[in-house]
Amino acid sequence: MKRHSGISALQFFILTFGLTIGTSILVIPSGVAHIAREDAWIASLVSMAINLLMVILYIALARLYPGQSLYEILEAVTGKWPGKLLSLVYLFYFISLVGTLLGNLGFFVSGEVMTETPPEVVQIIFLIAAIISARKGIIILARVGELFFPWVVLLLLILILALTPQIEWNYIKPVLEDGWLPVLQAGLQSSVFQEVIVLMVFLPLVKQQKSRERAYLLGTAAGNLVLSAIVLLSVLVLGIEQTENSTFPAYALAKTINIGNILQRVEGILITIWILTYFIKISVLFLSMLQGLRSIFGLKRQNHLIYPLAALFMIIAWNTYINTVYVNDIIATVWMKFSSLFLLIMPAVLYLIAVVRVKLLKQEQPENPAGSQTQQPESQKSP
Amino acid sequence: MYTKSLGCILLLISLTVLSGCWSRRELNDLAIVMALGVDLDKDGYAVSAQVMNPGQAGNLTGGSNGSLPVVTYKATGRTIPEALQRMLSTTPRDLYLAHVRVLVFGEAYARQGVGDAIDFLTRSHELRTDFFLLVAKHTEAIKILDVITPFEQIPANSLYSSILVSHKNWAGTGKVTLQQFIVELERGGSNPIMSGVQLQGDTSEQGSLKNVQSVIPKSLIKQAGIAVFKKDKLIGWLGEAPSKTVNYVLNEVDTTEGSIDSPDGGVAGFIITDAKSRIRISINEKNEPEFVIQLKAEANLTTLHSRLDLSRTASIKELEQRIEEKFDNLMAANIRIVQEKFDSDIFGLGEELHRQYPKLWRSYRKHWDESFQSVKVSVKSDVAIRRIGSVVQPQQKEMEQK
Repeated sequence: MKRHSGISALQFFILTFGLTIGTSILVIPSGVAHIAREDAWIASLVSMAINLLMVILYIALARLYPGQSLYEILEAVTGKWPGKLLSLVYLFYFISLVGTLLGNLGFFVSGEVMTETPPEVVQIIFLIAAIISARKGIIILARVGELFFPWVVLLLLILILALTPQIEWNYIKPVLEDGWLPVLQAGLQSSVFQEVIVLMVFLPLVKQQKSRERAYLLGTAAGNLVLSAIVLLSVLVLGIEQTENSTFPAYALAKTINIGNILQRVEGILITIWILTYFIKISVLFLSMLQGLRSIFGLKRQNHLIYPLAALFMIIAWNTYINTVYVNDIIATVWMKFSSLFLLIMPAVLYLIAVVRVKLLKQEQPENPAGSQTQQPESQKSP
Repeated sequence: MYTKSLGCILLLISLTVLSGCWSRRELNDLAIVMALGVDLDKDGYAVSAQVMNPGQAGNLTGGSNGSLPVVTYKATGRTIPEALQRMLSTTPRDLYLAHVRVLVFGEAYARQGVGDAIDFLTRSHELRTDFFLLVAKHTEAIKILDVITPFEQIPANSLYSSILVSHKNWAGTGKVTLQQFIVELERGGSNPIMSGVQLQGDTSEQGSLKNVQSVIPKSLIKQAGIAVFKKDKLIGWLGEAPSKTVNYVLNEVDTTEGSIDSPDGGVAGFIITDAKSRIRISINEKNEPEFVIQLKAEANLTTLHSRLDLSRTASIKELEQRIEEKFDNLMAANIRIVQEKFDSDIFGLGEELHRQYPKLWRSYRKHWDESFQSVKVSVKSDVAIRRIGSVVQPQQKEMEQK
């Protein structure tokens, strides 16, 4: 990784945005509508708030160890060997994520768009693109993201505008029928699918501290806002019953576009948005894993790991994504707890340990000023 | 340098070879299904598909071999997809369902419940949700798909546009897409409707060109009011006036024509150009909901068969009042009819109660259909006459003055 060239704050914003939307845009509305019914849109705003809290936690953690990536922070907080072990656990999380993402891609494309194409072919072709981007590195990916971004925004605008004539405001009434509990529950459940922690690996690549933190927060906020808009539109156009019972509600939503019998059958818009952001998501994950392996095992180069990793992704995808029902069941029962362990609980525990460590060092400072000199700037930066 | 340009050339060549999709389907390998019909059969389902015959579309007088622009195939099966696949043994091409414009259910099947058909329609990736659903009144779906129609070469297109035209300009018929049907079907506080179609005239030669080779076509397909469903089962039909009322309450009326008795005897004809309705709910002292349908409409005068002096604003006021009275009484009476005949809330009153009084709705949720039959519904309309046409005084009055 060429650290000296770095990535700009705007590019980091785009990566965060892409990572947040990623696959979530296709599947989120169904789960949220299932629990929160008419209040799905409030739930998705709750999910945004939870996501932002997560990012604030990550930023606070990163401030304690400026210039270090997720894996380096893990080692710095818990010590060398436990840190490496924890990094491996995180890698396991990332790899299972990539597996389900690839599975989702295969099933969506082969189930809804090109039904006679086997999912494996779609997955392999997509993986080839991801391999190319992994070989080129994060800096090139960030630039690619910059190229994609205007298109994603334009297509999102077209999608949202084209859907407005079909809005039925009645569909979101009554508001808060069953109180806040289902809303919070649904919000919490959908907040674990954006996985913005992955970008902790690349956070140090943005030079200015202020602008990278702002980009991180704004990217998460913007991505989540788009998700909320899609959830709101799904409920307003399809109604909760259909949103909840669709395998890919956003796709069902895009299929309903019909303006004066002229502009219709434009679900390609949604597929394009999804493919572009999905590419960012899977490439970022790929690169973060390479970085992790390099950091754990102290490797000099990482490119020779790309092909074995890609093969591993395929195997995991084929074995985890058995069918849609199985995955939905796992998502509803297991994934939330599993995922929140990595997104919320571990970072929170790490942060507590880190704060204690830094404070203890501060107390030790007058006794042993020479030993802790290197830690000094970091402890000053702690919030 | 050489390797680079060679690489470029190879890439360009591969473009020509690699283009196309895995699951491509060429237009000349497809049979584009324009309409589907679903009937009951002893095996399960009898499915009929009206398929476009592209070679003949464009000349109704019979092409080179005299065949018609459409072909209707029929097959049976335990499920609808099975029947459709079995149909392939008679068709020369693969059936393509994405362009289905109307789907017709036979009455017998609709009475038994269309839920299982809906499951297939929504589960299939190829079908969309924006085509119209119809019930063939007193007949089978295949009979409807076996009529040659004037004007439109493809009968399915004729059906499709006649649904639109009659709904927009007459308002006595329904216009229900699959999407709307599912939404109403799955809700607790409302029941779905569908529009009906019917055959009219001498049906002996409906399927051949002879049907349209006379100035008055021997048989025609007619839009036939609204079919009332309870959940997914057809339970009855509404006549013209109740169908209109349903459309008024559901806010589906665009324009329609009507007439009232003029104040001095005679008849006044008017056209409704704009109608909007809202459902207001008030809670009475027994903690029961009472519904008021508020209707705001604009009307134009189209004809006057009387000696009414139209130069006075008072006569316009009087006409407006009479139209309002007619709306209030007739619609209330029609709603009453629906309430008495069917325990099915096709107006979506329950859903409105759910939206406005979610707490009260809880006590009704389980047994809404029974409560629907006894709730009080009234109509309060507000009509404004905007235009009286190109002349002022009615012809009868003009003649009298001379």
